[in-house]
Amino acid sequence: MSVLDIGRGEAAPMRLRLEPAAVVWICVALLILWCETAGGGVAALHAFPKAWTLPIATWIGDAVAALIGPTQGFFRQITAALTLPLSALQAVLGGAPWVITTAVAVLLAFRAKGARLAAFTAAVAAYVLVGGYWAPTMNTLAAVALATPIAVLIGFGLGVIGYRHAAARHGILVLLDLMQTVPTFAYLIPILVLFGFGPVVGIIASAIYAIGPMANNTMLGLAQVPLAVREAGEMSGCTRRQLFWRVEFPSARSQLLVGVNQTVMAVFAMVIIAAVIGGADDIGFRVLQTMRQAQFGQGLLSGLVIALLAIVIDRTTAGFAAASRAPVRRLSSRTLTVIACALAALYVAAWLQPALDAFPTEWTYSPAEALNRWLLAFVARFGDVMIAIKNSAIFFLMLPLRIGLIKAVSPFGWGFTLTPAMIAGYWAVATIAAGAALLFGGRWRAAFAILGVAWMLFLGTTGVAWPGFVAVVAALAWQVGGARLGAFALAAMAFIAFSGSWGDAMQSLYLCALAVVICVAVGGALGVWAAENDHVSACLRPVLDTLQTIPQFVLLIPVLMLFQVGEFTALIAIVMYAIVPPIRYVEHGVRNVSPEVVEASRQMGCSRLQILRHVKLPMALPSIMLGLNQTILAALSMLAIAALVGTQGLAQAIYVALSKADVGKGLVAGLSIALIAMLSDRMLKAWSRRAQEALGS
Amino acid sequence: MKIRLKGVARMLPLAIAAVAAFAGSADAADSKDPIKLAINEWTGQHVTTYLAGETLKRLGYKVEYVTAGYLPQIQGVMDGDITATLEIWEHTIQDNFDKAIKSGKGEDLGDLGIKTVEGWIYPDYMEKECPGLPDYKALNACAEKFATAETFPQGRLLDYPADWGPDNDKRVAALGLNFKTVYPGSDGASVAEYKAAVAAHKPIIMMFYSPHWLFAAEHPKWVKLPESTPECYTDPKVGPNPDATHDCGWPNGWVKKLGWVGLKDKWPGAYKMLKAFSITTEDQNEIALQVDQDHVPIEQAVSKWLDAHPKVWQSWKEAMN
Repeated sequence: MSVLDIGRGEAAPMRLRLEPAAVVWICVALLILWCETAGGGVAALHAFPKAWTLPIATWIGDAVAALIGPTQGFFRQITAALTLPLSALQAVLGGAPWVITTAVAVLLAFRAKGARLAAFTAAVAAYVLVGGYWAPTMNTLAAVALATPIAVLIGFGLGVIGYRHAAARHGILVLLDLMQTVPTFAYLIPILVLFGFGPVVGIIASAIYAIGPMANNTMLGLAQVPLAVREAGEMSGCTRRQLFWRVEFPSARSQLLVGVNQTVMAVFAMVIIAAVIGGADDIGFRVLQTMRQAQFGQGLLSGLVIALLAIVIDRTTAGFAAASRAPVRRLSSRTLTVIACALAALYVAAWLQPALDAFPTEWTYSPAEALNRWLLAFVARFGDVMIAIKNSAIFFLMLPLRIGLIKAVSPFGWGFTLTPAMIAGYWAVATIAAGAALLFGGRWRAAFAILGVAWMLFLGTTGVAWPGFVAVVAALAWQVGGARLGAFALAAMAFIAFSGSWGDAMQSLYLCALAVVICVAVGGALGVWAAENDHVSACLRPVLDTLQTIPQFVLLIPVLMLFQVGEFTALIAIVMYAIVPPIRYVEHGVRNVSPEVVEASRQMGCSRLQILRHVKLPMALPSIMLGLNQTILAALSMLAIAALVGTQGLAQAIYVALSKADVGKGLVAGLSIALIAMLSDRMLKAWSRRAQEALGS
Repeated sequence: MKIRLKGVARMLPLAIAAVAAFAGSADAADSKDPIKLAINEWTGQHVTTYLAGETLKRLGYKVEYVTAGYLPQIQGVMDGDITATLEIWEHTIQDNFDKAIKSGKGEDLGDLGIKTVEGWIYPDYMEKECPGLPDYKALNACAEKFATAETFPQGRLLDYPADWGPDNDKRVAALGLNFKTVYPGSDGASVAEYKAAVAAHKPIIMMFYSPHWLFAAEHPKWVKLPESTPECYTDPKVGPNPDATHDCGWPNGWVKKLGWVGLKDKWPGAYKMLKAFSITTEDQNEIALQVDQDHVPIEQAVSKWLDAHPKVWQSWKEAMN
């Protein structure tokens, strides 16, 4: 990405901006002060006035309806064209004897990464077979096998266009962002109307989601082709086409394969969510069914199938991608003949012995009921403890952030009510802290940050005056990313406010913000620990792999049983999913700090803690920032799923719109989530760029 | 790669042959294409669908069961990708159902015959904790027992998912109950919470519906609310609260069958059969219990039931003439 951002990064040194920035923040502070004191009783300043909202949802709904009429025929033909290869794939994968499919998978794994992965693949196949999930698993694989090439081809095409034409690049990047951040549920209805009902729709939805990684990696790979290589091609008289296919494409190959790997994983994640549409009895639908029946055991077991398959596919494709850097070892024709004969023999064996063809149902075994009983016993035993944990989290963390201390502090939760003296004391402490930061450290940014947090905690995200909130976000965006980012922030918030989603957005924002803070704090600590300790790292890895790949629905049931319907349950579910990136990126960043630098600081007499605090963490900052960015995106994407356990806000609005077949409302809520994601992504990237410049790297 | 392709080439004719061998014969006027019936996410619906599907098979039709999301299936029916879906519940995706009928692409195939009961349920041990139950008037006195941190001092009533469009907030207010309604995001969430509450012996009261397998598994009790009349929803004077509507329970809801509009012309016999197809709540529960608790494969349970009740499915067949 960094290569693509050339031209935007030449921000002036910070000190030059200090003066106007401070002035802007003083204005923002005054605006807030006025809103909360003089304007404190004005309802229009706190809830965005309904009268001001525009019927944006209706417009979008009408526009989509107008678009669907004339184009439906075209899209239906795409569906028809895709149905044939899908049924063929389903017939082949579903019809092939399990011994053959397993043998091929094991061979591929062996070729990609050697004996360990091959053994793991065999174990996964055994799990799928014994669990009785073979048929739905094959249907899921058929969908992945069809969606992946589509996403790869389109993503590659978009990537090439974006690389070649600077003018198109910006549009493509925005498009990719939207594809990845608008929750699938939001565009489910229009996509259903366009493409018709069936498994093909799920494949198209998955392909749309998975185009992004391929396109990004294509642009990155092509941009990284060394100039010398390109010039050598030009010198030797290549035409433009030759230059691309003979020079640039091979040079970018390994990055392209990384893109393919990420695309497969994205397809895999989305195929499961797209199962809500139905049409094929795939493993995603099985998971969904267990969710609806609240069967934890069955859900976990079928969800594990997906996690395990994802791990196998990830390692195998990553293995091939890494192998492509080394010269290709071709298999000798003798080896190929042996393999072919062995497979043929297996096929004959399967034909003679039906148990090798279709796995006998008597051989399957499921500990699902035992798991269910175990969970219920746990709930019965520890229910009170769980409720106590939940209550303290709600009273002391969630309520203050949502409705503010002023409303959250009540005799029921806290044992007392806020008296005017306490309120005065609260503000006095905040002001003194801010003043101390300003006077003794000369850090005016810290001073404003302290005041801002105090304001947020006092009134809560749903209680603060919206003009003040808009001003803070816009000023922040302007300060880290310049006038363009500031304008984008204003436009995004205007869309949210005028479409009537302000209240919902603030509800969602508080939940996501809290989840991100928890993820960064806990995940960051775990990441550092894992970076310093190989055992911890080895223990964490399978847990992280599972959390990241298991269908998010599966996590909901046990959390729900322990903590009941409500926002705390949603919070836990979001944290469980979004905690993976901070752990991964922090560990990666800290581990990859150059050993020379670490050694040098050790010789200068730094303690281990000092090395961590003053050397490793600052140097790992770019990676950590990337992790933070991924955490926010993960939290927002999980928000859409967590609405299933009862949240308020944008994600719930999508569900309600879905059941009312209201295309416009669903898309407005979906776009609002996407805008929040894009805004935070842009701001963090801009901030990280500045931090890197400040570090001088 | 080569090896895999060879395998494909070897398998494809087998797959095609398998499909071809399956061809059966129905009435001359009826198409030979398979009739596609939607399978949704709960067992009761599976029982209904397999009862219809297996009967159609006995009558010589080809039937395909297509898994389908409860909501997306409506689009499938409108396009003819799904021939019929047999359990559309009132108060759930009614808006989508109405849209399908209005578009002229879906046809209302009539009532399924299941009687749905909706209301508030609670576990039986709550009758000791909250004397006076099942009468709703007892609820106010023990509202705090049903309270949680989020709702205190009000009791917590777990409502339907918000997207089902529940009206319990009005009902609670009209009946003067000191309760707050909380929306679960999904049906499964309600069930999970109920199961957990029973396991931990905790108070719970929630909006629910029958028929549902939860009744066979947990034996919940209904809260007794004032009798439902159509006027109660329009005329404030009707019901215990003279100033408010919604001061009563629910009317029994319908469960309807929705068919693709082309069903009538393509499979006229099956169309008549599906229109006549109806079952009772008891029959559905009986079969669903075998499937859920005794783990009998659904085809087997349904076939056994059809064998034992020839009169019932013969009557559906007679409707075809």
